[in-house]
Amino acid sequence: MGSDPLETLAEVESRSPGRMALRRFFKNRRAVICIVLLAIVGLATLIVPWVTRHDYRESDWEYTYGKPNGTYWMGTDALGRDLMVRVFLGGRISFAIGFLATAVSVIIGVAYGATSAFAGGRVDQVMMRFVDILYGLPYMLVVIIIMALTESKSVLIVFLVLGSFGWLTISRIVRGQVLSLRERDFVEAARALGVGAPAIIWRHLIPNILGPVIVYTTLAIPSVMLAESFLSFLGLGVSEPETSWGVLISQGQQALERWWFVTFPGAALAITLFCLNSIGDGLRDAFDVQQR
Amino acid sequence: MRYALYGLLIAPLLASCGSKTDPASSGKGVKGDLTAFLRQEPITDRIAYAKQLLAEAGYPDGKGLGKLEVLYNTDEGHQKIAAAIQQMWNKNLGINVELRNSEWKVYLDDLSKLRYQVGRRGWIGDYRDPYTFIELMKSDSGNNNTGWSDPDFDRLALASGAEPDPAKRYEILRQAEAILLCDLPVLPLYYYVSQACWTDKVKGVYQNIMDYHPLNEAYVEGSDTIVINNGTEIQALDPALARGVPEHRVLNAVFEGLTRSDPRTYDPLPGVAESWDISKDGRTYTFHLRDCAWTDGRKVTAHDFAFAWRRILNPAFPSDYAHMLHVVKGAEAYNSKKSSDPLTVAVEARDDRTFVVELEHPVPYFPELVTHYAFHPLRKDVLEKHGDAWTRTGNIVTNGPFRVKEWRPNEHVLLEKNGGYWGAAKTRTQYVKFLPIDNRLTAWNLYLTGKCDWVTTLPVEKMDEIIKRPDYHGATYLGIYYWSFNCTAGPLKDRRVRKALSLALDRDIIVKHIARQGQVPAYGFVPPMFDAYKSPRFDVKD
Amino acid sequence: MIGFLIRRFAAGLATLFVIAVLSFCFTRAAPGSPFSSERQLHPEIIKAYEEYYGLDKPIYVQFWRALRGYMRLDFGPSTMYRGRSVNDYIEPGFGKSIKLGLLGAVLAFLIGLPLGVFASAHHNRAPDHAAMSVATLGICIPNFLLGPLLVLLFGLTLKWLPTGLWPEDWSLKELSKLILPTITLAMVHIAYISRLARAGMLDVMNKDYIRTARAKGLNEWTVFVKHGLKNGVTPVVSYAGPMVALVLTGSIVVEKVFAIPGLGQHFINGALNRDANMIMGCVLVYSSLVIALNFLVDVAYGLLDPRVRVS
Repeated sequence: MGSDPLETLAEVESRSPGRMALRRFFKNRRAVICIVLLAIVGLATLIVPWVTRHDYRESDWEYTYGKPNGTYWMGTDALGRDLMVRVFLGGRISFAIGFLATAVSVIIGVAYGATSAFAGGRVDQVMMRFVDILYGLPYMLVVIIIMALTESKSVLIVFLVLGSFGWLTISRIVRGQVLSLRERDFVEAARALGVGAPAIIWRHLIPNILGPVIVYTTLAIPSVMLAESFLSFLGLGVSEPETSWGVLISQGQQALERWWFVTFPGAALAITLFCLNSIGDGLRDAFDVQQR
Repeated sequence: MRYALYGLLIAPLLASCGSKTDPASSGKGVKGDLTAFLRQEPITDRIAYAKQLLAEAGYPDGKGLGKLEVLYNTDEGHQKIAAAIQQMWNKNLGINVELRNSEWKVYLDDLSKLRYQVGRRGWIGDYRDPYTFIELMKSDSGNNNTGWSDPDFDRLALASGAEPDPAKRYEILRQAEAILLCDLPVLPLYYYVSQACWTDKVKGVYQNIMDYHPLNEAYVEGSDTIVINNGTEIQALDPALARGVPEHRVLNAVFEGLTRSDPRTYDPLPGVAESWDISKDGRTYTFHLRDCAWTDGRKVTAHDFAFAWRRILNPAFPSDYAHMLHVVKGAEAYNSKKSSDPLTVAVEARDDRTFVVELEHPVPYFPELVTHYAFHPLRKDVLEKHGDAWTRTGNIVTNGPFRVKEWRPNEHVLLEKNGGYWGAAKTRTQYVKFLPIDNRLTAWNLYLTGKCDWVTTLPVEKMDEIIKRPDYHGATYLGIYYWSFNCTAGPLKDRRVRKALSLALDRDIIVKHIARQGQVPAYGFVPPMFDAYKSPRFDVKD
Repeated sequence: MIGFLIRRFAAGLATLFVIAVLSFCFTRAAPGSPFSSERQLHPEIIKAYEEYYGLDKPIYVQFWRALRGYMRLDFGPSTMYRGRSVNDYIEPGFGKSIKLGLLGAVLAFLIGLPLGVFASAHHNRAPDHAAMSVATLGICIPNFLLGPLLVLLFGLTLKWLPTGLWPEDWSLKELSKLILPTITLAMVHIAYISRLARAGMLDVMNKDYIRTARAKGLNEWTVFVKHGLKNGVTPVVSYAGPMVALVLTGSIVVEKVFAIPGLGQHFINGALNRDANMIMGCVLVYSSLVIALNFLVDVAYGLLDPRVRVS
């Protein structure tokens, strides 16, 4: 610890932006509570099905469409199966698909959009026209064809399908953001310093666009969970006796008087969404470069 | 309530499934009586016997059978039943079942190409005769889709056509069904129930076994329009191009054939033909047409029928129901290009008001058959003038109790009373409006809020409460809900396995807890709704 | 400027062409036949159908024929609805979807934008949390749940509003049929728009040039609107392109729940029934909209932020 300027510089740098951001994040009470809540829900989906005494496939023929009571805390479904274990089991699939598929989409979308905007000119135009083409294709038909070609309905195909169409909107949003950043002074400065394009994109542009990206991601996860239920209509992904929140909700909405069909998976989805949004907000605030 | 019907409808005869050495007399005589028939073995006995069969076939406790795949098209109802079947086979026989749901076209494709093991099926009778179910399982039937064929079965099916005596004919058909139930390429579950709701202001509409409601005398008290939800946008107004029950409703309201159906009993009544003579051998029908006209004033003639029937049989003309006319002599030959002369089809317009038809063999249900829209008359000049656009409002010319006032694609089909119809005095309503809503819950909400007088499809999830309503109209329906086995591959080749699988299902649970609409469990194939036909059953031990 | 317009127009047409070719191939590649049904058809009859619809010709001949039709805006005969042209269904359907879609888009922006901007102005205080919770609710409840809930509440229980169908005339009573579907349609987009607006505004309001503007003595309102808003709404504008296209072509869920004869169901039914011409018609309509709207979005970028040079 001396007055050596180089040593002082080294110290300052050890407090890297990333670490500072994380520290700011954990100071945000709301976000931390939500992380804990989300973790609880996630763990519940793993633990409850192990611990409960009802099997998710077993039918109680005397108590179909049963209201919640002492034996069946969340009621029973049309085949007399315990809904609680099904809601939590469904949560596993929804979590897995929601998070993973969204992660894939976001990674592809951010990389694509940033590169396209930064490259600019002809390259940007061609890349965006490619996005337009993918937008225009008939989604359902493509899924049907993919299913016919792969002849399997494994979860991997679900990711492929959801991932290949999910990145389009985020790439447009990222492109829009980067377009406005591209001409800025700090970018020019970096270019003048001879920093290569990938480094500019990675170190300077992407951190500045994280706000909308995080927000979009937190919104996209639940909508991916619901998109999965549409795929199961086509026969892809979840099939009986497995289930997911999307499937449970879409089955439940047909008879809203049986409120327990919809309320529990709906509440689970809502809690997840709410937590994700708060966490997203917290991340956005934490990584905000301009905030002091 | 409906289980009482079950007892009343089913005739008290049993068939035994003995050896197949001599089908003509394989112990298919009368056995048992009504009480024995009603006294089914308890499900536990059936399951025990099923286990025994499975062990005999070489799969004790389901070991070595591998996974069975069950295919169905995506639908809430089928999904629940498939899940129940999965559970029951697992629990009762120890078999692992995997469910595969596909969307419609893929499901049809897999079914027809035999790319399945157990598949969801169903069949509604085209006419009130057991043959409509027997012909389904012939080797050359495109709707068989099981890979099962039996030369004796085919022979009997064919022979029934040549038998003029009704009682003997039913006996032949019964023997054929007994063979079918012996081999069990099909897994009968229950017989359908037709359901609809119409308000108490709707009059002149009655439930019948074919779930068909002629609109001639229907009306809504206090309104000049009946609003009906048809369940889907109709495919076509050209009777030769259409296919489906919703199309049937509209087509038979605007067109009329030689005969029409009685609203209460579905018996054939005089339509365009005011009377008909049947030859002694039952093969020639001479229809005497009445003096009636098309909506543009021209008289309906026998030539209109001859033209329409030849058109639908033309092999270059794509029509789904051409096969219905194959009972006419020369029809099948012309339709399958064995003959290239349309005049070999034995229909003749002897004069403007006499139409003569010669059949391949006697068909006892022929007058009922010709109520179907495939047999409706058409105007040759209108079709030639407008080509494909002839069914548009303004071009279309019809001869039924109603005329097309407006067809807004996907919005509604509006019919107006045809003043020129010969029976117009009895037509009580001025307008009929068909809505094409396919979401059953949406249609039900419109019905509840008074925007619709009559819904033909009901939301499955609300059936429990709907059945209790006074405006609910359900009736036994001439149809069977069954699943079929792919008999060409794997363990399902063995009929003992198939029988075990069939016995191990508790149909009472399925009907009472899953289907829940008062259906009747099926232990045979042909619905036991024909007075003189003694339906055999399969669930008796050998 | 003219050069830019011409180039984008040409690029748009080229994109549309590629989409048309790919989709055309997909319609033929999908398993299952448009003519299969529960009642099996004789192979001869299927052949007759294929000849009747020209499906037996080699694929490039089929495409050329179809292309000539598209240039006349004629999408050809439908295999689902025999004897009628695809246009008979797409034209009225599109007309209705556009009307409902515009209502939905306007509602979404009208509520979403102010909500998001308002929230960003009160960052991390009570109004922000309240506004964002409301927005979050919009996504929480998927439209296939929201629709039936609204129908149950306002249509069946309270009996305040009609449960479905399309207005028959311009009377207030008939037009009220559009209230519930519009809300259902707009809800999820309100949530997205408000959150994206808030995020964009938060990013922008912390920038140096904003501080400069404040230091210059400009009042908060001018700072906010003139300098902040223009740049803050970029993410919303990016989202708007595809969103408006989606909303204009009809949401299948809203159409099913409220019995609206829009375009969305033709898309789905066409795909499920393998009606190639119907699918192509819907694809072309939808893609043209997307391309046109994305073009407008790019123009908007340039207008909002002069530093952005899109070409």
